[in-house]
Order: sequence, then structure tokens, then C-alpha cells
Amino acid sequence: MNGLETGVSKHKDRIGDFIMKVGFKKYTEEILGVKVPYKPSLHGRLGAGAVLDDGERRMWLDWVNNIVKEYEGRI
Amino acid sequence: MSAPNPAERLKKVLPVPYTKFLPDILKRNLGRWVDRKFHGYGIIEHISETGERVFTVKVGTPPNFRFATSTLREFAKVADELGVGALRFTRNGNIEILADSLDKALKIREVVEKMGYPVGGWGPTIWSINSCTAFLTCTTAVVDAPSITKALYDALKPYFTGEITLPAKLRINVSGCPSSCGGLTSDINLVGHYGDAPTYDPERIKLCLPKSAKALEAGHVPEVAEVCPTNAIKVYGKQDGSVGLDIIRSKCIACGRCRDVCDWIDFDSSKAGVAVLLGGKASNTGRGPLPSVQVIPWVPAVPPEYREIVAVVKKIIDEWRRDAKQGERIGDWLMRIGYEEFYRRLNIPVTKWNQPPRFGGEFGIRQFFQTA
Repeated sequence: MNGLETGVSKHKDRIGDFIMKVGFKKYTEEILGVKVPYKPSLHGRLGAGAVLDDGERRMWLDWVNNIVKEYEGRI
Repeated sequence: MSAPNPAERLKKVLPVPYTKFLPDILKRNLGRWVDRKFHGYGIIEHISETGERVFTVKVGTPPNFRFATSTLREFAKVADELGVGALRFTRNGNIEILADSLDKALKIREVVEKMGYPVGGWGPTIWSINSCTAFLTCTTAVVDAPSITKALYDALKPYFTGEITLPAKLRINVSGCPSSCGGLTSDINLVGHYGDAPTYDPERIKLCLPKSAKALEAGHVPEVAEVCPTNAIKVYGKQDGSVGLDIIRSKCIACGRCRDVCDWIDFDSSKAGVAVLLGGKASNTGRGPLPSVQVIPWVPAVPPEYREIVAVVKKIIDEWRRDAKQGERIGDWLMRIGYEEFYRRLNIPVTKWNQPPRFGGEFGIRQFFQTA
């Protein structure tokens, strides 16, 4: 079956990716044939994940350790 | 052969009417349920216009809803002997057992609690902690989501049973990798990732690339680059006709999909952790549907207790409980106080990975309707 040869789906091909590619206005008006009264919300990056260097990792570890210390004996 | 007329489909009768296997009390009252009443945080009474009543008992289940068949038989026995012979699995992995009297529902609660399963999860409580399957059946897992879920359930059980109540409904999702199969639209979402870009052996990586740059000229994109969701892997033809590979660190989100298709891509698993995303909800209540926002890019995932993750989740819940208004979910609360204020209160460093979002307009179904 197409896409299952390695068990990995190509996430770039999902519906949201498609809408981003053709544009929300074109997608709603030309493909769906509806007129949407509002534009979609603008927002920053919604993805999950981060590529950190050692200094950044240390910074987050320090922040986390302070919370662990605060909750010592309560978790 | 001519194509079938689509209108014929409307006349098609499903092989098995879905009501065939319903218990009689549900068949008799189809479409007649008019009211409901809560009995604690784990039992709902459904009232029919015929005067009949059904009581649903909601039971929390193990992470990733994993059961031995013998346990399932035990649950089925409870549903047969004390209930109306029916139980259902919710999409969030709880079990609901139906009974026809409050006495029987209370008895079911007593029996399943003795079996070791909590009853609760309605009203201002934790409704579920959803988890992907991670290493058991998945090839892309970075952290063991069900183990993290287990640690969270152990620490947060009173919030599920209602011994400690919350300002509003709380759902938590745990995903083993950024594919986020555990879900990403809940109030609190934990997503496993490697925390750093991958490296590769420059010689062995050739096994994952075309032998000749001519293949690239013909439009072939090697799978190791094709699977990257952020286009952080570039392959290029060299002057000598061979193929090279670059990983663009600034684009990489450390999801690990490249490693999944190429054994010679390597991540340092000692740097694996979870990102914390807050405020997602699909409900149209409050501020309406909201996306989740990454507020903490990395918390180390340290088995078996995952104390760091549990402490951070508890801290977030405690601050929400302290400040939120009744009925205000985490997303609504964050929109009211502002992400900057939330960061200030928890002393969260602001980096390029957790910039406060700038929302404008409406999400989900609301963007299709004019407001009054």
C-alpha cells in the first residue's frame, strides 16, 4: 500500500498542510465555495519541540530543578 | 460496466442496525432522554421521559488503555451482574458501565475501586490523561508516554476522583514524539522530543542517499529528507557526482522522523525530554476553541518516576487552581491573564521556542459565524 512501505506517513500531505499551501482564502472560496466572514486567527508557532544547545538545556534544567525542590515530598 | 448511481446508496440498509445489540432499557428510551443528574464526580443519572433511568459509572483505566483479557472479563462480569450488560470505552480511554439503579451504580463503584480502578472524571476534575502507545507498537517514540502517564495518574488521582476539585474540566495528553498521537488539543499537552538536532555518520549516511546526483536532477527526493516535517534536511548533488546531506539546525524540531527511515541518523537519547503545551480545547465554551501553545520547550524525561515532569504539571495546575474563576479552563484563563503574566508568575524564561502567542480572530467553528 502506498505510504506504508516503511510505516511512515508523509505529514506534509495532510489536509492542514494542503490548506496552508493553497491559502485559506482560495481553499474556502474556490474549492469549498463558501464565503467566510472572518479571517483565520493569526498566531505564532504552534509546533512542539525544540533544538537546544547545552547552555539552553542547563537553563531549563535549573528552572525545572527549582520546581522539583519546591514540590519535594509532595509528589 | 456503468458506474453505480449514487442515489442507490441512500436505499442501502446497513448489514447490522446499530441498535441490535443495545440493552433493552436503552432501546426502549431511544431519543427520550430529557435530563441528567450527577451523583459525585463518577456517576451520571440519565432520566427518560418514560420515567426510566440509567446510571453511568465512569472508570479510569491504565495508561494507553492497556488491559489483560482477564481484566476485561472481570469488567464484563461486573457489567453483567450489576449493570445492564453493557459497557463502553470512551474515546479518551475511560470505561463507562451502565446500571439501572443508583444502588447498583454505587455497588459497581465499590467493586471497581476494590479492583484498583478509580471512579470519577466528570465535572471540575481531570477527565482523562490520554497517552499514545509509544514504544509498545510505535516506531517513532522518543519518550515512553504511557510511563509518564502512569506517573501523572499516581500523583494526580485525587483530581480525577474529585477528592480535590479544579476550576473546570482538565484534560491532559501525553505523546511520545512530535507526531502527537496522544493528542495536542487538550488543556495540558506533553510531547516527547530529542531536544537536539541529529547527527550522522558521513560515510554510512550514503546508504540512505541516492548513489548519484543524477537521481536528484530527475526529481527524486530521498525518504530521509521527504519525511522531515520542517524541511530541515537538504540533500544536494556534489561536484564529483555524489550526493551530500545537510541538517539545518535552525529548522529542526528534533522529532526523529528522519531516524525512523535511516539507521545512520543518530540522536542523543540522553537529551530527550518533553515540551509542555498549554491551553488547547475543542469546546465552544468560554473563549471558544483554542490551540495549544508551547510554553516550556524542554523538561527532562527521567524514568521511572518522571519527577521533573510531574512537578512542572503540578505547578501549572496549582497556579491555575489558585487564580482561575469557576468554569475557566486553562486556555481561557491564559487568554485572560496573558501568556506574559503566566511566564512571570512561574518565572519561565522566554526564548524563541516559547514566544507568547499573538492571537487575533477566532478559532475552530467560531471563525465561520458572525457574532451578534
